[in-house]
Amino acid sequence: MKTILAVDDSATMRQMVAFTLQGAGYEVLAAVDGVDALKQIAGRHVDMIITDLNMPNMNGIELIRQARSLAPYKFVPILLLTTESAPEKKQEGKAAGATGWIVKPFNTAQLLATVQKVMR
Amino acid sequence: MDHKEMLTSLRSAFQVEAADLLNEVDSSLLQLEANPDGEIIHRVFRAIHTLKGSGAMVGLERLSRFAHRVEEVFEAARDGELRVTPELTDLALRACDLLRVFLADADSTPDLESGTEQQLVTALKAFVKPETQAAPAVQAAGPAVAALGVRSAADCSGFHVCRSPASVFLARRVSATNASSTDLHPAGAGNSKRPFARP
Repeated sequence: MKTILAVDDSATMRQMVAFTLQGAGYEVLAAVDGVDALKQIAGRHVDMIITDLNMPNMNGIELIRQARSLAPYKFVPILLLTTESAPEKKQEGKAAGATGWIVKPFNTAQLLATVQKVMR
Repeated sequence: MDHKEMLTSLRSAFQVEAADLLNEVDSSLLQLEANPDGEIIHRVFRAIHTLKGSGAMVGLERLSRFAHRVEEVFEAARDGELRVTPELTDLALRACDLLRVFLADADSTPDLESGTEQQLVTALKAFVKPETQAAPAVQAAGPAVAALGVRSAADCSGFHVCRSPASVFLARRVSATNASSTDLHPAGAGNSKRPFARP
């Protein structure tokens, strides 16, 4: 079973991602910010990270940067979920090493389709 | 769990989360009155930003749209473009009260408190506007973002698709730490694979 880490400071968003992906047969872990996420991936392998952008303690961009500096996470797909649609923010995400970007609000089918596309 | 059950469950999760966030904003605003600290401004911005994003996800369109207006002001404050004055914190506290009204109104009743909303939006805009006049690009970005919110809100109930596939970019391969634009599909390479295409 593939494992996905959902990182979001919003409990509603974590629940939405978990419901959607668990329903499709993925194991879903949750983290509340970038610091929490790094702690969780340090101890185990995950097959994909889905992260929010704006979070306390460590934001999504910094999380991606730090995850990409870890050997096991160099090529693990990382998706950004965010309300930011500004091109410069996308550039920032891309430069940090994000695999993809989904703008909120999105629906469950869209999330699932994107996850299935990037999951290897 | 079917679609409808999921939405119901997410909406109740959001009710709890949003109530907490609004309480946090209230107390942060009161702190700001005494001490206009950057970290507190950031906290207010983040809470309002979460209300906007998660509210839109559960279909609370009026709440999300109005939260966006409040967010714009605190984004400007966070970026040092405007000063947090007692007038602003006062206005923001009133905005929080209206967000609570919208939170309680799961049906997003169009006319509910529309007079109050109008009044507050005008006042909020007045805070941001003088600062953005010198920067037309910023001014142009505001309504575009708002328009997206309106479109998704107006066209959507719950989880219906509101975004084109172009809002999703997919990298062909991310080469770890030094990912550059060359690692991504060129624009137009595939419908759902346009990197960083505008939605």
